[in-house]
Amino acid sequence: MKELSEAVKAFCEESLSPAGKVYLKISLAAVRRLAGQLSCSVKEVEISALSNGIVPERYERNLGTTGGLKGQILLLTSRVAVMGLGGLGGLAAELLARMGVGAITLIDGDTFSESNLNRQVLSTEENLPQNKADAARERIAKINAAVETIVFKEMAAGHNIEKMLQDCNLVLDCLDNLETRFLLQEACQKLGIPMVHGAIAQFYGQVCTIFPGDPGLKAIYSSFNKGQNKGIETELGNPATTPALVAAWQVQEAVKLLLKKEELLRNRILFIDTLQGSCETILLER
Amino acid sequence: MISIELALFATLRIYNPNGESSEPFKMQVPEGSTVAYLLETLKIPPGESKQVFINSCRQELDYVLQEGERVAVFPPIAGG
Repeated sequence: MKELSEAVKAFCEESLSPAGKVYLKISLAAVRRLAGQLSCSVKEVEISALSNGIVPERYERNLGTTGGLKGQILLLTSRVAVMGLGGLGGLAAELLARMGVGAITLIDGDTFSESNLNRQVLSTEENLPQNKADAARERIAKINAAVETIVFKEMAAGHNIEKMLQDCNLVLDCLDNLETRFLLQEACQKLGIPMVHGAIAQFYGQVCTIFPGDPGLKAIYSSFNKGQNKGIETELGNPATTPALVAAWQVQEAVKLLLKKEELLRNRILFIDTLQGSCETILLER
Repeated sequence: MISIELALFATLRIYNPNGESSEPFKMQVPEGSTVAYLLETLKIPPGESKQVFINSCRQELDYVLQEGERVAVFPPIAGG
């Protein structure tokens, strides 16, 4: 759109990065104004700016990580699903929106309860018992208007999971039970998309990036524990901290995947032990 | 006897015979020992949830340990 291109150029201004480099930026106010004037989305304005070498100011500190403007465009033109919006997914959804992942599918049929308040960042004393996916949508809308959200206020199951994941580049496994986690891996395999698995219990957490065809969860969870749908978290609990650690690491893997970085946690699992103060990566059988 | 290297992670660290730790340690077991035998020797109750990785591959209880193998035992975690 030539008109949009010209408009973003007219609204950009010179700025100095923290490293002392001169660059062209466009403010949030200008992006909003152009979106209104030209009847296009905030995302379209931001992509047009980036395509013309102009940095939406809100992404300025992203660029070192995205590898420049092209990387930010990649994020803005991606769709990521977050399955489960509790301790892991609530924070993951927010971090994805802040990074500027342009479309996020939010999936959770559950509602907030008091026992969620210790760790689920989207829950507040005011919004009990709101649906978790709805709360995520509201939070994202406040953080980044460029992000399009699709909300599924239902639990994933065999009959609906593939529909939920349509058009997604990848999925974050932020679930809390093994049955649905395995179902998700199967669906991702069928759809040919990667997933980033995260799980926590008490002082411990784990992250693993799983591509279609990888053994993934089958290499992680032992048949010793057959019939178990949960891990040691049922006894040891879920504090505020480990879900935040693991969610952040999952989002970092997601960003690396979208940016086509190669050093992923693939066929290896990261095990975080905050009690011992150590991280281990264990290779998984291919 | 054969020598293996063992690490007991997270909640399983309490079964480390050298004191509560997840640091790897060397251990001697009779030739032909299985994973089940090892867990029994370490007094890890059969009902305790665990998964065993040998040289990075998850193995089952009947796996026969070999000289020099690295054994890591983790509890399953699945919370969100």
